[in-house]
Amino acid sequence: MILEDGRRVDGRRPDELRPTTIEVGILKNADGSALIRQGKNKIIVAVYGPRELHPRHLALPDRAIIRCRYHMVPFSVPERKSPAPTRREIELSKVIREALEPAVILSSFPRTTIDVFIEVLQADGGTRTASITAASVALADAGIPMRDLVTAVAVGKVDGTLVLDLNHVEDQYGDGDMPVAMMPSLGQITLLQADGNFTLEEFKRGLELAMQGIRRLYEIQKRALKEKYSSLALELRKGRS
Amino acid sequence: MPIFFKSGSIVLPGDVIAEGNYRASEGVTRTDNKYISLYLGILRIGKSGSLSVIPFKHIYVPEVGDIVVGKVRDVGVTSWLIDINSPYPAVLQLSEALSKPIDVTKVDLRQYLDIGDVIVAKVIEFDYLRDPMLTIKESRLGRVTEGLLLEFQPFLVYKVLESRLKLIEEVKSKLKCDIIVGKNGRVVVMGAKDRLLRVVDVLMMIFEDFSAGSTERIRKYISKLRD
Amino acid sequence: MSKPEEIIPKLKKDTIMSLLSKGRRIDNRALNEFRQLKVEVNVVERADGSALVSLGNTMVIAGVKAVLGSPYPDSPNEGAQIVNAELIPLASPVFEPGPPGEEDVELSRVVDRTLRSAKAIDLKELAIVPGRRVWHIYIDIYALNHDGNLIDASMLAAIAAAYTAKIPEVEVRGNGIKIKDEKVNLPVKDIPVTVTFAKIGNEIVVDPCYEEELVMDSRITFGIDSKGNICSIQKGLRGTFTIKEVIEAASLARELSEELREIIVKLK
Repeated sequence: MILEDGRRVDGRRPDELRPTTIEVGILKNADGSALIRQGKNKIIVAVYGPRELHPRHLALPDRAIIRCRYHMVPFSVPERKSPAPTRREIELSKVIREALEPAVILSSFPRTTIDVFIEVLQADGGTRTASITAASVALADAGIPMRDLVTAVAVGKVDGTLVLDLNHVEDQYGDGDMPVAMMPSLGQITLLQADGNFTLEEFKRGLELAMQGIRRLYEIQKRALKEKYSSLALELRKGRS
Repeated sequence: MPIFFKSGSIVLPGDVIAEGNYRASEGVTRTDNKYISLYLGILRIGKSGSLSVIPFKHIYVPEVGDIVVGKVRDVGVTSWLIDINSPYPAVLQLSEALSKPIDVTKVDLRQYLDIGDVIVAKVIEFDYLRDPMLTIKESRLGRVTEGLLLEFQPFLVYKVLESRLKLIEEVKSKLKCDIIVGKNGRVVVMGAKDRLLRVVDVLMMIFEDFSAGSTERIRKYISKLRD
Repeated sequence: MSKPEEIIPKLKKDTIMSLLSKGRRIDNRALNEFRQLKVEVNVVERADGSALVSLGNTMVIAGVKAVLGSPYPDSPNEGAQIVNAELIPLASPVFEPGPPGEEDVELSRVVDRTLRSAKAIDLKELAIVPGRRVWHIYIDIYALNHDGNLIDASMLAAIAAAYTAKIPEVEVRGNGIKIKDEKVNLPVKDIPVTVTFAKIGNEIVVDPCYEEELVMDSRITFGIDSKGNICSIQKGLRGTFTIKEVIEAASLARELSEELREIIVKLK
């Protein structure tokens, strides 16, 4: 039984997020970077760009393109995974890119590429949504103009109950998994997928539950970005003369 | 007509800065009557109600007329490829570097500018469709043969504390050196070797010290400078 | 602001070389000085072993995973050791996405050889059912930030991860194997480390940073085991070394390896 006394396998209530922290700017070479820890998930994201694109014929004349690579290191999962990209990683690279694209003002940098590299160091379910949450922080860290941050979380169904922020066990043995990504201020969904089965009612309530989680994660993203610059901002305010 | 943040606050992409009737300036976009930040940066509320956001990390996009400090990245047959600290590498054509025509079949361009050389150049063309074009034919432009090259985050100084840029002129005359501040975040300092490190110290203060009362301190420090 | 860079009429290499002739490097280190080294283990708790190494600004992560498998036909009573290193584009603008290239492969093989020659991981102790079931120990190494000398950083990450790794205890019962919940230490009997030198002009420096690697003519790496013996050597790039240079480097590598090894030993 996954659900006992209303609590989940890891002791959380159905609407509880895993403990989440985000560190900004940990990689020196990257233009922007972020490390997210969400429960046992540990994911590092590097953003390079906007930068020149080779081969040049891939460039678009009126806007930048985003290239995204989602990859799991072999020791990120209990059974060692081969380092070569799997079909799942290829699909996730695409949906993550498509979740971030609506937020980035690509028209500011024609003929360039913005490269997003995601390495999952440890995986415990919900890595695509955690990656999106971290990637949008890394994009903001890189000074790239965005309409909004992108925040994501997965909602699932376990023993008939809708739960927020699925971990791996719940994803594997539950009855449904629905990752959602949004631009929270604009109220726009940029990623929505599902497997398992949901009634229409469950789907609606699931979206509401996802939005609750997204609102909380949004605050964590904002805090992490502000922390990096809070002392500089303080100095600037005092030094203005 | 509320503004939701104080001038000088940190704002993030997506933050609604204000609602009502203001003027969206750099780094701010307007949808309906909401003004939204595009960057992670500092909010500036201008006197005429202009709202702008200065990003902490500035990505340099060239504009015609900009003076930039570039590094030669590659040498071709009739042009050089120049790194101007931008997503857009620039091109310096032979015709914009030398006043007299030369026979490219007989002469190697490396004799004039080689990989790694530093130049002060002006942007003469840029329309996003092709690489930005530079010239070094005007006065005060050209290869920098000796000196120091520094890189910094330019926008904070240009936008937040313009008064500091005027201080640079004072430093130049006091320490008898030449300082060229490129729009692309690079600065070259030329002058007597023994003075260069003192110049670097002052520049670090100008570009990096924003603590309370710093501008006054820097002004005093510069006024006391002696050759 | 970046450190002020001296503009000179000629290329950066000349600046580096003129500093070297005065016994100085661009980051103010001595010629035989390593950058600051930090090693954190167990950074990926679910891996059997893991380590994050920071050597100056170079950052590398390594993970160890033990997987049950069949022994290789030529060594039926031994476990297997497989090292895989990747220079991913996340770590540097100069790394391109794609399958492992010759540099990734060289790095993997140098780390593998060093561990193997030093008999660091005791493969004989990893045979569970001789001839049938053995542990395959996978060491996966990923560069996270490239600021030079990925070889030494990767070697340190690999040995630190292996040294602190714990694998499940196994019980052989009749025809089958039972994997227990208890863990035992991965049998590591030696702590080899590598010391890499770069030759720039006629000067030889240890632990080259990225800028030094851009102008180096050749590179040589020595793997040294706990007894101070040389267990691996790898010369790289187009340049050459004299016999005298190579012997001096080997001797210096033996000295410097002790400090590096001390840091690893303290991890347990």
